[in-house]
This record gives sequence, C-alpha cells and structure tokens, in this order.
Amino acid sequence: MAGDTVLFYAFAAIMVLASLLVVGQRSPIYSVLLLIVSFAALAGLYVLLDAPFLAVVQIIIYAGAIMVLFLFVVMLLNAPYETATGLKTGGPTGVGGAGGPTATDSVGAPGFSPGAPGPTGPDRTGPVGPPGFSPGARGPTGPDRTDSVGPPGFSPGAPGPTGPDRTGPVGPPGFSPGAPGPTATDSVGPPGFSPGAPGPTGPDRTGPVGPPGFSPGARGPRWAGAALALVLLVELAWSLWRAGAQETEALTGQLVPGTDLTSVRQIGHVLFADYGFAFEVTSVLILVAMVGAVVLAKREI
Amino acid sequence: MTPSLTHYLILSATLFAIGTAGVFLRRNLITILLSIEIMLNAANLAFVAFGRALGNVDGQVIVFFVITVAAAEAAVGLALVIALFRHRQSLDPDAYTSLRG
Repeated sequence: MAGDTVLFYAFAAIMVLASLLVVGQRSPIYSVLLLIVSFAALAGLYVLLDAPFLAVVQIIIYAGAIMVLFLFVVMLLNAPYETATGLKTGGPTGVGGAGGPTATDSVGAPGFSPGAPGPTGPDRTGPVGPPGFSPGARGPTGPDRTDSVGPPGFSPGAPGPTGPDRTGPVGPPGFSPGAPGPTATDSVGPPGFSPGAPGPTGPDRTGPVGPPGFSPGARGPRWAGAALALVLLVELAWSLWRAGAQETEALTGQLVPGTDLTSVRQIGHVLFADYGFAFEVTSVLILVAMVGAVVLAKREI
Repeated sequence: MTPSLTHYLILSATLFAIGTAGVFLRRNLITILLSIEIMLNAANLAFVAFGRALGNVDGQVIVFFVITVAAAEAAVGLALVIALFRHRQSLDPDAYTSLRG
C-alpha cells in the first residue's frame, strides 16, 4: 500500500529526528517532550506493523505514564541543564543565558545610564536582568539588544527598527512577571530554535525566558505539551480505527484465519497461557521496583 | 517499495545507535535515562517487526514485558536521581566519584 509506505518513511523520519534532538538537547524538559514525540511516531509504526493494541499501550503507558514520571522529576529538580562547561542548576538564568556559549549580552554595562529612549521611543519598563544590572540606554535608532535570553543556542530575532517594548520579566526567578504585552511573542524555544525575524513594528519580547518550564509564564513547554496531547489523541483514534477495520476484515473472512495479529484476544491468550510465569515474575518486579523507588526517594527512612 | 523487515531493522539499529551515543555523550543523568528509553524502544521495534515477519504475536507479548521493565527501571532510576540530586545538588555524573579508587 502506497499510503503505508509514505507513513512509514514519515514516522521513521520523525522518530530519528526527535531522537537526535533528545540527545542533542540541553534543556531536559524539551528532551522529555521530544522523546514523547518519538514515542508517538513509534506507536504509528506499530500500527503499520499490524499491532494497534501495542500502539495504544505505547501511547497510554509509555508516553502517558512513564514519560510523565520523567517530566515530573525534571520539574521537581528544577531542570538543571547542561552548558558548555557543565550543568547549570536551574536558577537565575534569565538574561544572557548566564554563561551560555552564545550569550552576547551587549546591553547596559553597570553604570550605564538607564532610560534615555531614542526618538522612536521604546518603553523598557521591565527589569531585565539580575539585580544590580541597570538597563541600558537606547540608541536613537532603537535597540540592538542581542542578549540571548533563553537556553544556550537560542538566538532571539533581531528587533525591528521601531523599537520593541521590552516589558517582560526576564530576570531571576522570584520576580513576578508583569502583564504580558498585547503582542507578546513568547519565544521560549528549545535551543537552536530561532524565532522568526520580527516585523518592522518591533516585537514585545515579554516571555519570561528563564530555565524552561519554571517561570510562571513560560508558555513554550505548555503549548508544546498541549499540541503533543492533541497529536497523541488523534493517533489513538487512528490506531483504534485501524484495529476496528482489521477486526472487521478478519470477521468477514478477508484475512486468512490465524494470521490476524491484531486481535487482542490472541495476544491475551498467548500472554496468559504461554507466558504466564513471566507475567507473574514481572508483577513481582514491578512491586519490588515500586517499594524500592519509595525507599530511595524518601528523605528519611 | 513497501517497507519490509529490513527497513524496520535498519530504523531500529539507527535508533539504538542514537540511544547509545546519548548515554555516552551526555553529561546529565536524566538525559542518560532518556537515552536508555530510546534504546529500549529500538529493541521493541525490532521485536514487533520480527513478530510481524514470522506471523505470530510473541514479539508483541515480549514488548509488553519490555515496557514493564522500562517502567520499573524508570521508577528506580528516577528515585536514584532524586536521591543523588538531594545529596550533591548536581546531575552531572562526573560529580559522583565516591567509588573511584
């Protein structure tokens, strides 16, 4: 079937790309989200391999339960991410990437007089920077702030000629973000993600771009997660539809009897008849792992 | 050209290689665990592809067990990560050299 061939290559490409990005990613939260993308593609491959039940299990258990466990731990530990020199604990990494390799924070050396907006009048009202960091003055032609807020490797777009309103909280955590501007182009992307060049009206970079996922308004992971959930839902429906179609084919005799791999009944029969002992051992393994995880993660026993 | 067993096996090998590279290249415990998950799923894909080629469901049943083991591994591994992070405030595996002789 030509459609299946196209789907195979599409899923394979998504899977390889997502896996490469998981490995090449600096912020763990995007690593986990990309791994969920990879698992979604793998579930699609399972469907193409006539194993829709396994695809459903892959989505619900693997992408749904195990990966959420990973996400939970990443958020619990406040997402340390790697830099060129080592791990940075998720802390005040707002402006300049705090030692990120591409940080070209060229704004406002301390002692530089703040304000003095140029004729095009950018409103820089937000405290952008660590404490003691005085905001820089504007040149008459508007800003050329090229501070790379965000994970290392993140290059913000060059601001437009009329000057952006940088009202956003890009400071250390604990700083409550102001109300986002109306044209907030929240650009908290994964490393290597470069937002499009802003238009001539100048963007409001109001997104808090600290460590991904933990500033109060870091909407990048949130939107990515929402989109991912939608994709997984669609894929679940698709795999169930394929399973139903193949069941119908099997019932109407279009499939050779005994070769339908899709039926849950057959899988259950093999699982509980031939692999009954392994099933029991696995249940004990899960129990032991659960107790072990509780003991390990407990503060005091 | 409809995808054959070979295609799936090549894909599986590629993913396994990516996971292996991640384990050895990354300096973050969580990313290392994620790379292990990639490797497990590469093996799962090979199991399902073989089962499909051989025409029985044993490959799919094995994948259930692999998923169970992956769940156990993730739970224990993440508990270890939490305990280590609480101990040393770092996720860099090079920070844990207590057993170095």
